[in-house]
Amino acid sequence: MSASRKAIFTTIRASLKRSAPLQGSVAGGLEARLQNGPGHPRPALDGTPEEHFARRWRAAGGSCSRLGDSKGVPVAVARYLRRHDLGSRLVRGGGSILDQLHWPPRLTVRDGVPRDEDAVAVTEAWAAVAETGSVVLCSSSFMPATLSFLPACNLVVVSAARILRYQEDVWAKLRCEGKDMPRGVHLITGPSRTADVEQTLQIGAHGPGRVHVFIVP
Amino acid sequence: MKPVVHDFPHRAATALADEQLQGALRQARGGFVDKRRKALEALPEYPQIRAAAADIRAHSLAHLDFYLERFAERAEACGTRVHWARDGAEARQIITDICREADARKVIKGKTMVGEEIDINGALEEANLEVLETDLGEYIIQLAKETPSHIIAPAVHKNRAQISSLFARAHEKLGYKEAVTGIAEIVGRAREVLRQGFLQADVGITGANFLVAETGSMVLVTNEGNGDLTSSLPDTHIVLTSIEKVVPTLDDATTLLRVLARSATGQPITSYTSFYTGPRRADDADGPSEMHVVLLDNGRSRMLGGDYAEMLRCIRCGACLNHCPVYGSLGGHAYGWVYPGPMGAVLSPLLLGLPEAAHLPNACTLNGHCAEVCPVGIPLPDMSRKLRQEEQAEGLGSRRDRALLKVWSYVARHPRLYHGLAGCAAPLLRWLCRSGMIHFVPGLGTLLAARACPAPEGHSFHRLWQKKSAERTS
Repeated sequence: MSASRKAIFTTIRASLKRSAPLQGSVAGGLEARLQNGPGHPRPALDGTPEEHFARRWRAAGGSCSRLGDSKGVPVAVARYLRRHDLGSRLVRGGGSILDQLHWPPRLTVRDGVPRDEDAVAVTEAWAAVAETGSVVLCSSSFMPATLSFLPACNLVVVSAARILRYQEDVWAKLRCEGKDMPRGVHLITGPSRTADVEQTLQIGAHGPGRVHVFIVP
Repeated sequence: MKPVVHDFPHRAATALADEQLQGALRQARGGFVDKRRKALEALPEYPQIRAAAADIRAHSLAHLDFYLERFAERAEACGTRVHWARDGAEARQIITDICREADARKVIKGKTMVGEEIDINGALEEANLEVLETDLGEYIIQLAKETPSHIIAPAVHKNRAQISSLFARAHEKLGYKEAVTGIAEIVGRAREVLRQGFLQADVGITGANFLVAETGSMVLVTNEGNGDLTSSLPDTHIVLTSIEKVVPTLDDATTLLRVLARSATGQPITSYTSFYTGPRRADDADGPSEMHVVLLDNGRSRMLGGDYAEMLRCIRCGACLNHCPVYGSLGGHAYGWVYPGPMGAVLSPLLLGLPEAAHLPNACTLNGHCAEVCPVGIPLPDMSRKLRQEEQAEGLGSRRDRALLKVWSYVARHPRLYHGLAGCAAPLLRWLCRSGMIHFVPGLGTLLAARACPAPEGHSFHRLWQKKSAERTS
């Protein structure tokens, strides 16, 4: 233990009027709170999680469409790229949906970590949060964190069944799947933005300026 | 930055006379307030959520040792290296050492107020490292060689023309011939220029909005995405933050996030809210191979025991700044250090000492708006008042002010004398200002020049009250 660490804890404990680490029932109470904390108040949601999610996501400046079948993702992506004149190259992450797809030959698709010149990324959300209209991306061997931040356009595939009501539900799902926290859990809500010049909102700062969600069954 | 808080009266006068600054402040004033109001109107549960947020912060601080230990244990178990710094000098040393060990040449930074507090950029530059700020506001003031004037909008005092000429000067050597003048072009240029910085950096330094004891995670909130690129692209990620930021669980952090962005920018949530836990895992596709968390104390552990412990609840949303008439008139630089506005007027004296910073709690109208809008219930005006009392008790402040306060306190405790003097003063003041407003009182200098008071009615309140009661009973 470093001398600084020791000194800081000594002062903290002196300030809190105790001389040793908490023990016994107080520590037990805190331990219990860590395992099973008090339920905090949450905002009410209206409509189904999917409806609420789509409304909030759009309010944050993202666009969103629903596909009848996840097999339709490549065609929908190709159409999106054409409509917005985004070329035909993309870099993609993996996941249970993305790994099953067959990409049309007119698209150049690469797996893995994005490079400077990659303009479009396709990612698969681990979950989504209805309350705030956020997609949740977890970093892993098949989902580089930078995919969500470096390319100027991010197309996110979300399974409708994984749209949860609250952020707390994401934590519960992580715990219940026995998953340790990944290096990065990213809640992404719309495109990047800044208001640092004259308090005027400008969409598209360092992160993607264009984000679209495909909700699949 | 080196604090110049003692120079507040002079800096305040300069700020008031600065036409350009006043224009920028006028433009910013309403925006933040309206956005916050609208966001809270859309959240009927706000009072309950705010109460829960305040409870979480109070609970975390009351058991700070327990939760900090747990945080460190969990973070280390995930491969994060946790460092403890008693003061700024130690934190600067730790961080420059990490950079040296990483053989770093280029450092990119996300916004960190703790970094400003300990002047980390100064230390890094002294160690011959190239430092690049990536938050647009921070980048602008880095080019201007200034300090932030607002905790969430660091360049709020700069207008577009100034930013345009700063960019023109800085980017000329990068080969850009044209100046950018529109807001979209300015943002686009910054994106282009900083992108190379992101891709080439060896070390990324960010702050943290919260630390989570349950998982050893740190929470980072941004809108630009710069914080996440800073955390993810360089091979070393250093989190520079302070010991009071810890909360027990992920759920607790979620409740605080519900009030943070709404109070700051009026958003239900920022574009990016990231929970980082440890460096990249063995089979991760990307991410830094090292993650360090530097926990700064710098007087906070001592604050925890006194009358000002509640100040440590602060989550740096900036709502108190946006609602403060003094901040709204002066901007942040007049405050002479890193933390401006009501939170700074309380925190700066506690971190720097009253002899340096006693002016700040006095530069407060005690209107109470800051406490009303604070999402974690910090009684800022009460603390300002308490600091003023301490200033008097310690015999600080000018001799004239102390003498005047002594006279006032004597008179206020002697009702008869008070009534007598008030009875004389009211008609005298009435006579002095026949226009209805008092602009000048002999002996007070220019005090009333910028803040005229309405003239009294000509009689003291007690006289008028007595008269009214007599009329009613007769």
